[in-house]
Amino acid sequence: MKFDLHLRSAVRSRLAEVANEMSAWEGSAKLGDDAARRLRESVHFFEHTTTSEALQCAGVDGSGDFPALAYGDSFVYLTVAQGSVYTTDNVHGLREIDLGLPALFDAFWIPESEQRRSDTWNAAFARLCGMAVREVVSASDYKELKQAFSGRHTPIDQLVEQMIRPNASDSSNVAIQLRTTGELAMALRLLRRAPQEAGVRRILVFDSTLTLPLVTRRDVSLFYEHLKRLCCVEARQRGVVLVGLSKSHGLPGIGFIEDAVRDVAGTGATEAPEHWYLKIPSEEVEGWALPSTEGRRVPPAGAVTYLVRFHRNVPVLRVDLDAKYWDEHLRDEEQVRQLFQSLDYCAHDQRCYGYPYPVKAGHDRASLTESERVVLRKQLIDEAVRAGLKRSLFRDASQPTGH
Amino acid sequence: MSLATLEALVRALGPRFGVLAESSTSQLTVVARNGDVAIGDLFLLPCRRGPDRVYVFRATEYANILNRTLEMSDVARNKLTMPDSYFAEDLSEEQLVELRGLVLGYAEYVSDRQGWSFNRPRRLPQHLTDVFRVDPDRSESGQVVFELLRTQLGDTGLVIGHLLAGERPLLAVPVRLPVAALSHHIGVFGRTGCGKSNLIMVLIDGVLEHNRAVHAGVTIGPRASVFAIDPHDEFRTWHAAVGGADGVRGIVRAYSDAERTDLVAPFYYLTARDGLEDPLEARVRLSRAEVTPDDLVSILDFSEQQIAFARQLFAEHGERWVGQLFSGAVGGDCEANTEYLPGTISAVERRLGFLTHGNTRLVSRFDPEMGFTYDSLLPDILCALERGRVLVVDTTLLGELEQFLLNTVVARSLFALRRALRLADSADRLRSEILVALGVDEANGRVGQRSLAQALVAHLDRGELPYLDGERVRTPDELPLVHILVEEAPSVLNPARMRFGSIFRDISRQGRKFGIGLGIVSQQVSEIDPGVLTQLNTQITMALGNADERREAVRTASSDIGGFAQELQVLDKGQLLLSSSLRDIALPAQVLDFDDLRGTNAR
Repeated sequence: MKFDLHLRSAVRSRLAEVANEMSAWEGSAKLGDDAARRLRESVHFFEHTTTSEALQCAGVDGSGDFPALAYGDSFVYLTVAQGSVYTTDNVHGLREIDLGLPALFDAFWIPESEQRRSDTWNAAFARLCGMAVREVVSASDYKELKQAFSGRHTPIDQLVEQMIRPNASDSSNVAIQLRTTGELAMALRLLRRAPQEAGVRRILVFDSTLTLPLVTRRDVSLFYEHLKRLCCVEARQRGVVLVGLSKSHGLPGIGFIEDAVRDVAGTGATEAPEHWYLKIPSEEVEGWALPSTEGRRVPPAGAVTYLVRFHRNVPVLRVDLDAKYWDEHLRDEEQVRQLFQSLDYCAHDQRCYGYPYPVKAGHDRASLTESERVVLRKQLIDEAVRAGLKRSLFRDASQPTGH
Repeated sequence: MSLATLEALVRALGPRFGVLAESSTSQLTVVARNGDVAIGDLFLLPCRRGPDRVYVFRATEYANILNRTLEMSDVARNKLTMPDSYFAEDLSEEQLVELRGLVLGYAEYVSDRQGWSFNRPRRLPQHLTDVFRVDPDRSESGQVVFELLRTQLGDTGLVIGHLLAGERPLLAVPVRLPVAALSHHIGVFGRTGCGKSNLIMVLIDGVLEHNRAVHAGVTIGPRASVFAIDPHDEFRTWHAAVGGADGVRGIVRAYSDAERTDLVAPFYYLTARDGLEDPLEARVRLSRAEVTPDDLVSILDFSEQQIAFARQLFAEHGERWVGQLFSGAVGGDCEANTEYLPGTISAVERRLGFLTHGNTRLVSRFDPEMGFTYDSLLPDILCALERGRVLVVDTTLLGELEQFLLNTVVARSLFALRRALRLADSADRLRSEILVALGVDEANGRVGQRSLAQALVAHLDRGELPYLDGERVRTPDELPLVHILVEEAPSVLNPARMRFGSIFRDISRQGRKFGIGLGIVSQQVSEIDPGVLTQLNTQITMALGNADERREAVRTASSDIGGFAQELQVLDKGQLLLSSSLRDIALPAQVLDFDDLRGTNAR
């Protein structure tokens, strides 16, 4: 087809409209004088951290093939999650500890059947977590948060029953559910397995936020919301700092924030200050909020949020911490500084300078290469054929029709 | 531990170390865990393509690789330029090694023999085969390797060391030199300080043990003899003076009286010194009567005219030719058209100067008319070698030429005797063949080496030269395998020396059929005559001085050791590569330490 879409005036004017809308959106996050002053006051710097006290830093990440295959109206989804724990080491900077914890792998078959869907999902969640769904809901503090933010108490059974369980073909939603559940399930395993040593700071970093999308809804919830909060509970009990680290902070007007940081650092307009953090204020705690967080739940329910920059080559990162843990252990600014210094120390591996290596290691190990996906699909089809299914009826869901 | 099945073998090998990546018949590539790998490490690849097989893989090179991250050079650049950066040590996933190497072969279980049979590498393991490392710290690994290589290692023979896996020996896998190799030719090549002396000491010890086992009826087969020149006089007492193991002396002293009589007497140690400490030691002495022009040509430079003159003189005077030359009673015979220039005569006389009285502690004068009768230990030496003895010859007081002459005379005389034996079909014929072999032809007036021949016939009649079983003539197969070690071999086995014919060239070509093998000990391979090198059945290559010598060693080995070229470069003291036409594959080994074998600890 001859491509001339971009030359049509209707198209060009629509694109210009969108650009203006984006500019207005960005402008809405502009800081007023008072907000700018407060923001500048909340920026903190820390030293480039080349040595560390005794530290244990774990990282997890999840991945998979969503879906790997389709057969009739059913789909097979593969979930992989990996975690690794590192300790400080004079020679290597960080050295991995062997916890004997294998990679988390699950193959999830789900048909388009209303009757079977719920059970299939429950079984998958239970396999990934090693706990029944009801147990997770029961042990998690999500229900309390939900009650606080939705204004209504929902019994556990009702929470379990009304949990969202996407359709088999709703691959985007299924992918989010499985990937996040896998990642958090691995975090839960690491929390329960990692050795506890006195005087050792222990951090577990996962590649996400502590956002709870449906916490304000009275009826429905997502399984991973319960699981996320269960991780917070387990981390608190074990004295582990659970860190949700996100490369995409999702905030408009980050340029204004960085300008404020530059003002404080006294650097030029083209320089990117590094080794700083600031806490995203909330009306509930600090009594003021950034314009850019209006209409957004940042920090999320039950969490506090920081923005941090470890190194100029890596963009500003968002860090979510469990609010209860923060309240108990990190109210003192010095404690927060030490936490970010520990994370900075972990971010000095050459492979991902400026980003904590344990998360990168978890990501690298969890990511499936194309050849690994192909091999797993082949293995799955071979097993299915042995079980009596027809090879020709399997479809590679990524190439259903060629368009 | 039964290792009859693939499952049992895999269980014994422990955890998987790597996975086969690319493979071809010339090279395998294995991606493996980040272990402490060394060139020469052994790996096993159990495989079910076809019948159950286990491939044996030897790493010849390896490289550090990263699993999923940046290129190594990027990481190195970053490490250098990023402030205070590090490279975290992961357990195994990220930092891997890529091994390249050769398949030595594969073992297949043969139920008829109830054991694994090793085959040359004509096949390849299947795709993505699991790879197991042979860990020298795990005795089970060694046992597995021994079972797989058993047909190559053999169950009998002279243990010279243990198979090397990387830089460490597998104590469960002894490497043996077949006793039969002693009657073939063996090259021992290694630079100074690489452990050649210890190796020869271990070999001597092995031969003594073998003879003892044959004597006791434990081992079936012929005995073995070794004539070992010892330029440093170390084999007799080894390190006893500094608290280490005693040498052959210590071994012999531990024998019973009967064993000393049957296995050692009349002597085990020959020296040019006059003071002897033990009845089983003897003063080594040859006679001028035993030296032939061919012996001298084998160790000295002569022109064609000089050779012709010497041979003419020997033909005329036989065993007295040297005395005649020194007395000046030689000259042209115009009628016989054998006139030689005075320059030629004096040149030969000059070259034989080391045999003049006062210049040699080895060769006695021979001139019966002047009262210098035949006085030599050679007949006893030959008899001893024919009875399965190890003779260590201290040559510290001998000149280099004397040492070479002793080696040459003994080798040539023994070779002549064995040829005579093969020709003989009766006792009388044997006596006459011995005379003929030593150039004695009374009917035609040829004197030859009459005194030696008569002495040997006398020894034969007394039963000291064990060629007769009653009236039956023994075949060479019934006699001991004789191995003659030629130290500093380039001096006598170089191409220039071979030009006019050398006794060693004959022995290298024909010695095997008479049960006589040469042991060529040299620091260099390239200096040895190519004709001799091609006759080597067994090559023991130790650390060599430079790349040229290593290339030459690879080129001349009787079995293909091209795949070990890299390994030859890193051979440590006491490590060697044994390649032999008697084996399908070359075996790297760590030589036993004689001090450990016979020292205080061993005792």
